Amino acid sequence: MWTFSGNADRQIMPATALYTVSRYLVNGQLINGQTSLFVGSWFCKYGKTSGTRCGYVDSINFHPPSPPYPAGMYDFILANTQIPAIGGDSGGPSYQLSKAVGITSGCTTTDPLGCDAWPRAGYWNKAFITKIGNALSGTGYGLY
Amino acid sequence: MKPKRMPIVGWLAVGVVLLSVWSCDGAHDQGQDTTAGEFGDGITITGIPDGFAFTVAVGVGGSSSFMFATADGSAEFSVTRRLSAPSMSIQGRHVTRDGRVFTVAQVEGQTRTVEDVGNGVLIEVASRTLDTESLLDIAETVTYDPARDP
Repeated sequence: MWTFSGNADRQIMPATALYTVSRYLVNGQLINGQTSLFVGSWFCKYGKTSGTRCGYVDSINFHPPSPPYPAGMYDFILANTQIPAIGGDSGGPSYQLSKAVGITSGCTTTDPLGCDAWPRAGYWNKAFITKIGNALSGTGYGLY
Repeated sequence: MKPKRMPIVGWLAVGVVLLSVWSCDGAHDQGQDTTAGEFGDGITITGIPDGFAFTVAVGVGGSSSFMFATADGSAEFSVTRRLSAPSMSIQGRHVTRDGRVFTVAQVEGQTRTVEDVGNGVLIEVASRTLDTESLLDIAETVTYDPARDP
């Protein structure tokens, strides 16, 4: 079930033979719990397109703009320019050491050619990330 | 016989007439901004109103928006390209301009014009500050080229 409103852009997928459940991310990072970030916290994000990127938190209560997001969404993590998001990164994990912090949702950029044009000299690109606590809230699931 | 030279008043009159003709040269050619041109995801916008400039682009899922605002932030609009649009219902008033059909609606506190450009792609122009006519003027100058949309 996909939720794309309020404070979360998340989708719960059933664990079937199609998916491998693992404590290790594709980039080899062990995940054994979850934590929260603060403005200025250092964290990393893995994206299928952009790979592993690490940097700082710009905001912990970011309101993604409407459109393209539905109106009234709030409480997202906005990464600094060290952590971009490109098409294909959505759904990827963010983490601080071995603790999960969020799920990549979208991006914002000053590049008129859009987020997928990253990197181009003179333009920045920042990821929007659903907090892991918001993604799991009300689902009955947790990370241990 | 030496031809008579046109007096300065005459030249001024010619200038006024030329200026008048230039200033009436179609609504679409007025107030164009030099930031107009090609944007990402197949979007081209040639009719960005005077005083507006591109600020940021935002992408999520199959949608990407290009935001424009005035320098003082008092007015804004966005142009959005949405994919996988067949599941979306477009409700509103239909307006046809130059053979193009735009659906005008109030959505989430904004005025929006939506054009179905085919293959499940919608082009949406939205604003909280501009009126419907201004949005339609912009929407008419927005074109979509799938060959430039990865």
